[in-house]
Amino acid sequence: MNPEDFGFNRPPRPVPGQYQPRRSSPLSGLSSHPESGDLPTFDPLAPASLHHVRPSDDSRYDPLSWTDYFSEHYFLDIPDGKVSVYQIGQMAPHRPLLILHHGAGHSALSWALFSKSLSAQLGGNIAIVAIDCRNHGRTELANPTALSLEQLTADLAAIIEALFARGGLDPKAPPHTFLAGHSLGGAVVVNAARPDAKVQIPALSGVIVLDVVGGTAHDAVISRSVHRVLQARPSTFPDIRSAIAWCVTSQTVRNLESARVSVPSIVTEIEGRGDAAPRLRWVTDLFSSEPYWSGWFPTLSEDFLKLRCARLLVLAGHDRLDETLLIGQMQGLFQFKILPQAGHCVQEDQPGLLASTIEGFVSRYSGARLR
Amino acid sequence: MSDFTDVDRWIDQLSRCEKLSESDIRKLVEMAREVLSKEENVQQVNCPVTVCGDIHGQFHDLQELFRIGGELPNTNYLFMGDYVDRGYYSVETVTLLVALKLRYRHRITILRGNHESRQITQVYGFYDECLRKYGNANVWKMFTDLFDYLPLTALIENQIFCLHGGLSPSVDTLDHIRLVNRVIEVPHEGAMCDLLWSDPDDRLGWGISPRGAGYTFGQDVSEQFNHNNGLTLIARAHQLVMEGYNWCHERKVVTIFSAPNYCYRCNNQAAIMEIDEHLKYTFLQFDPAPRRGEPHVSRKTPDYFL
Repeated sequence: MNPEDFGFNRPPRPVPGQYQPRRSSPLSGLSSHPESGDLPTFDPLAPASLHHVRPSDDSRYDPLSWTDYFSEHYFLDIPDGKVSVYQIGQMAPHRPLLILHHGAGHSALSWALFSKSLSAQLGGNIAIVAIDCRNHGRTELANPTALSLEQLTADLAAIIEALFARGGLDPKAPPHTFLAGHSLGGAVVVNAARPDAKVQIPALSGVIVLDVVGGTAHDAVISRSVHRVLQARPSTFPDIRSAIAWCVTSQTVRNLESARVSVPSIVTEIEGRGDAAPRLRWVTDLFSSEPYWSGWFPTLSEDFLKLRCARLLVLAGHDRLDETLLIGQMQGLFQFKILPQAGHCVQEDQPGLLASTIEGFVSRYSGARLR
Repeated sequence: MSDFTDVDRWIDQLSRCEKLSESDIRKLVEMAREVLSKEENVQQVNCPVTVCGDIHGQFHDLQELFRIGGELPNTNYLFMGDYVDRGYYSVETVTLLVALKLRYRHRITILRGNHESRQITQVYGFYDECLRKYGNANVWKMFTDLFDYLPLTALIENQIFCLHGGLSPSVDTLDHIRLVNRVIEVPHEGAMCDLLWSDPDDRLGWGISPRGAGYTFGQDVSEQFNHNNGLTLIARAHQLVMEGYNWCHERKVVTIFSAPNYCYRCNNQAAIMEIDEHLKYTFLQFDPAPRRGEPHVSRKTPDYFL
């Protein structure tokens, strides 16, 4: 298959793996969405009439810089290489520290809007650190595709140690530390926080898991519905505006502003192609991690309930706890919040609502109200 | 006095698990508001009475509960909240309990649980069920407005204190509870919130609740509260217990949960507590009612990933 055949100037043909943006019009097929302003929603039935604007020519899909959301970006050295980190708020012994781990295929910048909102809600009295994990974003580690739960957990422990050193924090007098993970990231932070983990995280006050339930996620892996979801994604894009447009029209991210910040960090230039060829691909080839999928989620729910720190589980859409968590929730063992307005990318879709929930959680377990 | 023709017809219809029409619900709710608004925040209850915990829309199990505990009006009942959400028949369940309250107002007491709230029902199923069964949100609106009038707690023979959740650091005596203006949506904090959300705990004193609402309270707190108010026992619901009931705080507190195989997949037993005319209690445990025509429950495989 010749990718040049699927450029934007040709009539769309339904070919799996290649994104064929529909021509969207600013006057049709768009609807608004709470919290996201003028989020264009893809409507395949809308007439392609009046003004034909291709996403490539549509400045509403322009990328936005991370600098409006985080105060700094740097690399942390860990034994395998360097890890890309975004931060807002300085680390200090008296200030809570929140470390954010994104899901598979996403990046640290999926937390951009959320981080800015939480920092503002706490009047800056928190240090928020979002990492690009192995084989994602701008992180560069040896053996990048080794995405086993054990490896990702070891990475996180090494990252936290390096973070403490960089922030001048004394592991013997650490700040209240919180871990939040989205999707696969949720499995990683829970595994890292286990009471029997090889490396114990100092002063771990709370663990926050976003939109992943062990039983249901594991079912999705073994029933191969994950494969279907991934195969339905395009694998290349002609340009960044098209990639951003796909993420919002497919409802992968239901917040245009967030997609404009986060999508540029999950796609990358394809090298050595002609001018007419698609220029961008995903940074992370998720199928390369397939051997590890079945090990990501099977014990997540049990491990979550065994944590000794405070726990918050946030689900998008509706209630779909597995039996273990349903019993745990009905015994009052953890805080449970459903954000009906959000899709799977909770922190991108509803950054303000999520920040309010996490503000309450962090404040409650930081010894005193922070505001 | 009252004409119970309508109410008897409604109860008959509901006992076949057939929902009432929207206009009947409107009549029912208006009549129930009259009755409930005359009840106290701490409603006096006489023995003998059978005390029940969470039901959560498991209509057929509620019928099983009445078969095991005895039908009204031969048996008196005290329900400690959480009639709606999660089960498939929240509408029929709460309608039946309210209709029974209308018909036998001195023989059944229905308290408010944390799920009898506008906010919670929008997320855990009752709102969606009303939309599905009536095509609009009117019935949900009528019921959630009615929930504001449900009493918060009950006191059996001045000795057994019953409520959905647990104690509150803002409440030392029952008189504190009597002062609460309860006809509001369940607040996020304060006495009323705590009474519907708190849980007993093995640790002493007050603790932060892992739920994010209410508190945990230790045995010392329970003993002090019972002593201050001349109580022998606190009976409450709110937490799933696998045997259907569970003693804690050296039998100063008991948890009762009356939804067997919760959510049709938790494999727990349910229980009710019979209190006889001498204030002696007996627990009756029960399993799910055999039923036909109920959808087989399995988790939906999510369409999300990673």
